[in-house]
Amino acid sequence: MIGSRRFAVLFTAPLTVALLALLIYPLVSTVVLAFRTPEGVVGIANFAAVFTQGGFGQVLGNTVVFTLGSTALSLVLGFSMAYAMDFIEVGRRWLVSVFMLPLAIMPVVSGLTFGMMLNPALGVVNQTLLQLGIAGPGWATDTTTALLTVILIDVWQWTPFCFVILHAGFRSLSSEQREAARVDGASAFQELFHVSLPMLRNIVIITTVFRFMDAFKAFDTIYIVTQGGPGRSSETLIIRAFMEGFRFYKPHTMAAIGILLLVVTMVSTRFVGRMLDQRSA
Amino acid sequence: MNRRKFLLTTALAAGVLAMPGALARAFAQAPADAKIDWKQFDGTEIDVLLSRHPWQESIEPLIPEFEALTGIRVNVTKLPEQQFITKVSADLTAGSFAFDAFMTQFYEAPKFQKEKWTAALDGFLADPKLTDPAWYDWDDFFPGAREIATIGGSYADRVAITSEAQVLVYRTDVLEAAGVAVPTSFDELLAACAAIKEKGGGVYPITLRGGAANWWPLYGVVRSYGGNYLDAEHKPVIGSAESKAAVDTYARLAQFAPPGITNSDWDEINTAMLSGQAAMFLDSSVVFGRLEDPAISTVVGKVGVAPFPAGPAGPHGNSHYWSISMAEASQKKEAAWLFIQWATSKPVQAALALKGVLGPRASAWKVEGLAEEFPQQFLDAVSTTLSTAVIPPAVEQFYELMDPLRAAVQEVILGNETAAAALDGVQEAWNKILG
Repeated sequence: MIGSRRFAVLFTAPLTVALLALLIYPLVSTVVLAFRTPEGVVGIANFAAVFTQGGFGQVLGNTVVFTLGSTALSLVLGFSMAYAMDFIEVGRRWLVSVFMLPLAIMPVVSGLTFGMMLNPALGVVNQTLLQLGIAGPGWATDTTTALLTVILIDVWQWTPFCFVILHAGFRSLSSEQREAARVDGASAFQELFHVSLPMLRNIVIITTVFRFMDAFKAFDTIYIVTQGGPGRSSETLIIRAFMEGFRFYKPHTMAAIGILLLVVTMVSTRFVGRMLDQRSA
Repeated sequence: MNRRKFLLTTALAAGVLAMPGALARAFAQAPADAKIDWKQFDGTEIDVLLSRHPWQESIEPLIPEFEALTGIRVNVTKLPEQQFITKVSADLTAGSFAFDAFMTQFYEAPKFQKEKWTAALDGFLADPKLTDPAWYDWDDFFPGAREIATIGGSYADRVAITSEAQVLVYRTDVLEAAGVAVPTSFDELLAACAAIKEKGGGVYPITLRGGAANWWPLYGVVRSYGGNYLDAEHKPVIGSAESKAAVDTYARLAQFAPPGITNSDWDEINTAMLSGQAAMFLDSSVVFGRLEDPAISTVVGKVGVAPFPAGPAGPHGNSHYWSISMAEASQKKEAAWLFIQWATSKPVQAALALKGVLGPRASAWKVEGLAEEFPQQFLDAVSTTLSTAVIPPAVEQFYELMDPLRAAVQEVILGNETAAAALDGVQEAWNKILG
């Protein structure tokens, strides 16, 4: 009895130490930082400063549009691609590898590449459009299109992530049930929505959660392509946090934004966790 | 044989034959003549972080000479300017900055000194074991450059390495084809842009920074219109009528720039000139050496330089002195000081001047052979501009102040807001930040 307890302690100790050092300590120090300035403890003043900042409403709106837009688009695209794979017999493995390529490219690299391609004066995209007689948009350099541009680049980068998980999900479905549905006269549409999708429910939810959390804290692409500009048209909370902490030397304001981000993530994942529980109940 | 080698060879030959006065002086300045032991840190390795800049491009090939002189190995890391600024501030804040010496800009000085991120250099400068004062000759630096050393307010933590003035660079052939004279005022500049747009054969009239660092060239325009960012007491005056008129002019000029100007910073405006895409350039004079370099430029021999144009309050181009500093966290400060001393010494500054990077030392502007390297027109334009040039105020919250201004200028350029409304917003934001 004692032997097995010592055994348990022995084996969980490394994990406990790692969690304390890498998760708990940074979290606690961020919380402490968020409630003080170099002058001392200030209560919620840092949060108040964040909320009353010029342009904060716009930054918040951008964050919501970016997160929901990028999540929804990459999920729908990834799902369609994964479903389409079901009907492809020849060269499927090759196609899957090709679709996964963007995942292997660092966001910094794809950001720089897209930034150059979409440059209105020098980039290949607008040059090509011009050949077709179309005056291309300003992409990342116009306030009306900058946010959409970074969303599209983020979707390009992360659709393969949704695709890979959902593809594996489709492959794991019982083919007997799906064939039975078809034999019974269900249309492809009915089969997808009434047989396959319910079976994939948990996988879709988990993919959505991961993708949502990822889009919520997307940094590299936005910072490389627009730095949050022009104006504040593509500035999200995470960009603001970075600027506050590392450009304006105000780590306490950065910590306050960090706490806000953490709370939103925790609330939304808790909600999803409950959805998963309902399923098993 | 490139020009520098040629000059060096002829100088050596001439020296051996006759040893005329000027050359004898030049030899007396060689690093080996400094009365210190350069080899005292033989075998040490130092890490140096540089921003991509003509100064970096020109000094890197000389670093092996320093390594041979001292036996110190220099590991150079270089980054594009925006990434450089980001890395330095991020690493210093996080306490993970791992370089011994690094390039610095004076806007950050108050913050860097408050946090003790940069080391005080006075001690090294005064130590006869490390510095030969007669050979190094501190008073040879321009007064403005000496001021930069202590601009942080508490101690000397930087040595100027460049002097740059905001000038008007233009394509002689395009201006001639469009039939316009070289602009001397902002009204003439706007008129010239309109003429080039009409008759310039598809070349964009001007290239300007509209991206994250648009506040740098804008400052020269604001001062020339009689406005300012902060007053002498560091109170915001960006909302003044003069500042608004200046931003309005800047935005009108921006309409003549290649599309995508809100993403254009130093690299992009350089590319626009080097590739022949744009006809005029209202930014730092250091671009000139690059435009005349056939290895990277398509417009060699077609480039003119004029003093900064005058606004209602006269011509007041922005100016800049990049500097080099030592990290307080460095464990090899003395070896790093030898590097800083060497890099800012007379012979190295002279060699850099001959490569097109004019330094903060008076002697570097009088180097033998400089008149061959630079047209008199360039030297005149820069020195005329420097005589009335301004530098932005250095305050601790500098970059925090520049962010809302940057955003507002972009909104005005894109026509989403008027200069008046946008700058009222900036004034309010600055009052709050400094209040």
